Amino acid sequence: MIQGIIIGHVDIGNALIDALHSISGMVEFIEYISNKGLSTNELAEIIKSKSQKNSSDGVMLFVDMYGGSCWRAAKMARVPNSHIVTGINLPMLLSFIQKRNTIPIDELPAIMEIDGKRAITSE
Amino acid sequence: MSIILARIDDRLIHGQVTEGWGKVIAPKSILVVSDTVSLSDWECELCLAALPSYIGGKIVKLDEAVEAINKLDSDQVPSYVLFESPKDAFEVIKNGAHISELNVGGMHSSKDKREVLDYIYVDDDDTFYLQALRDLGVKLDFRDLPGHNDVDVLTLLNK
Repeated sequence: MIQGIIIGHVDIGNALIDALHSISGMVEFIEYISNKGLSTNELAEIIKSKSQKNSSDGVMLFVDMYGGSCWRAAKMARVPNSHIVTGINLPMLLSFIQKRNTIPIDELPAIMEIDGKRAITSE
Repeated sequence: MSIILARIDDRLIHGQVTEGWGKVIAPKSILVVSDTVSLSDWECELCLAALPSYIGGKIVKLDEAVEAINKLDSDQVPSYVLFESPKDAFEVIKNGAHISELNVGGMHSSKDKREVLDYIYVDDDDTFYLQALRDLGVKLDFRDLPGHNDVDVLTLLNK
């Protein structure tokens, strides 16, 4: 199964996973890493080690903010067979859980972007 | 009065710098002083990716930093100067950069460092160079964000 890792500031990843569980029930192969207290290099090391646990089907690295230290760490980790998506939101993650079993890893990032943006509206 | 905010932050350009401190001094440019980042074009690109379009960014090596900082100072360009470590800041200031006050806002955890505050972790080298900076006459201001109180970390370390 394609693994998802949320990399974000302070408790955002933890909160998003809690929300996912409350909507979808227990979800496997998705976890979070907080940047709290970590240097960019150390964060990159943790991303690498968490990704190695289950990377045969690929890893999606979900980052809260493009250009920030979490994003930089995700790039620096250079995880094999991985993609980075930024600007995460709950609908994007719900879409990931639904679609990761049927869509190959290389096609998922573009779909995450579309689904994440589709959820942003104004009236 | 200096219009340069100099800061030690191993995350270099990130939200606390552009957003948090951006409200205090609206910088026109950010100068990153780093031998490690400047070695690789790819890392330079990553480092500058976080910058809003209205702020210019430049990365210089330690031995180019004195000239670059003093030029910003004499041209009166509102700027941030970012160092990765107390050691780098000490080298550059000792060699003549016009910096009298230094914000210490991010020295994050890595191997063999101990926690002093949740954004300040130190090893013996860090402690030595922070003290050396103070001995040079540099005023050290320990805080991650402008709204927070200055914590006298050196006194905590000497306890």
